[in-house]
Amino acid sequence: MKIDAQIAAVKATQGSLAIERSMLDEGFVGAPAPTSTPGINTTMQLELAGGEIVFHKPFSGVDVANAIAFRQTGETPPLHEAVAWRLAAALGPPWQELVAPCVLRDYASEDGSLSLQANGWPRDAAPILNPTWCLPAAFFDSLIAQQDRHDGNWRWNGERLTLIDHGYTFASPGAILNYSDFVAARHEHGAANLLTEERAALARLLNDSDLLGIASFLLPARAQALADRAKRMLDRGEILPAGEF
Amino acid sequence: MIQVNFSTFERDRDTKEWIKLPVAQLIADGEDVAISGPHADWINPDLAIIDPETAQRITRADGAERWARLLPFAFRNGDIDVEVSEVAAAEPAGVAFHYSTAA
Repeated sequence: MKIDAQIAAVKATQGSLAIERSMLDEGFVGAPAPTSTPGINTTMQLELAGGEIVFHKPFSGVDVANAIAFRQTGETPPLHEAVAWRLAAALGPPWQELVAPCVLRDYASEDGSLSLQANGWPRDAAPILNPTWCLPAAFFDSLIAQQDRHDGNWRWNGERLTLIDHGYTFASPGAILNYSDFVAARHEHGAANLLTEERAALARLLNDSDLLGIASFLLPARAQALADRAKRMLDRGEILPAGEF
Repeated sequence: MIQVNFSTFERDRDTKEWIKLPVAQLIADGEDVAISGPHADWINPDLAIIDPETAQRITRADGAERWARLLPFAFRNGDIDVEVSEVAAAEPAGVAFHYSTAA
């Protein structure tokens, strides 16, 4: 694959957190859920030995036409799933608590991303209306150039928000945007200005020549685009408008 | 007519079997869409979906049946299973929310 170096870099880094260790080390119990259709990106629902439910998206299962429509490649969605989590983990709270943990791991001899099941249900407007959740979610989606954060791509359990599906992130400048609900909401509510902790996070990212390790996980142009977005956010003092990648 | 069944799978910890749970059923018939089921509110009738063939945003207004066929592309996470099928005329069971783009 053209992203072998990036996959190797992610695999060399993951596993420092307990949840990552569980997701990497525990065996799978039984067969995957018998989904009625292979679905987009051929996702498998599985149980780990510790009881956690996870979703495996193999690199070989990416719907290439759909990926290309988003100006991704036939390989990048599972990589970007994992890199979004790596960035959230590198930035720490509150972003680390917002994103479903994800590692790169093989299942049935197929390499792919393995994401932890998020607790809750889709389409609840509560986190959009609550700054505690909307502000960090919007900052994160702006930074990672999320292309498809519609109301089915987060889960809300009545107490906390979890962002899911980061396959179409780290977009190239000019790539298509479908939704960025939290980013749009933050702008609409006049809350686009960066908070102190957001400025600090961006400065920490930019002050590291490897972008806290993230640069080695992404194709070079996408890593540069990430650095450029972080710089523009700092220069303007606000999150970027939806669709500015 | 296009029928789209949405479901989830839960793990039975005792039997170690997957239990299929219905979420919603969507029927697209011409320009009309009806959504029924225990979690019909989880399905957004106004969702735009990127058509992989054209890279265009497609909504219900572009044709309910065309839009319904694209729904699997909007549910990539894996926790909501989406099954699309062509069906003969049918009426969804129970109460359904009806959406129409017709004037």
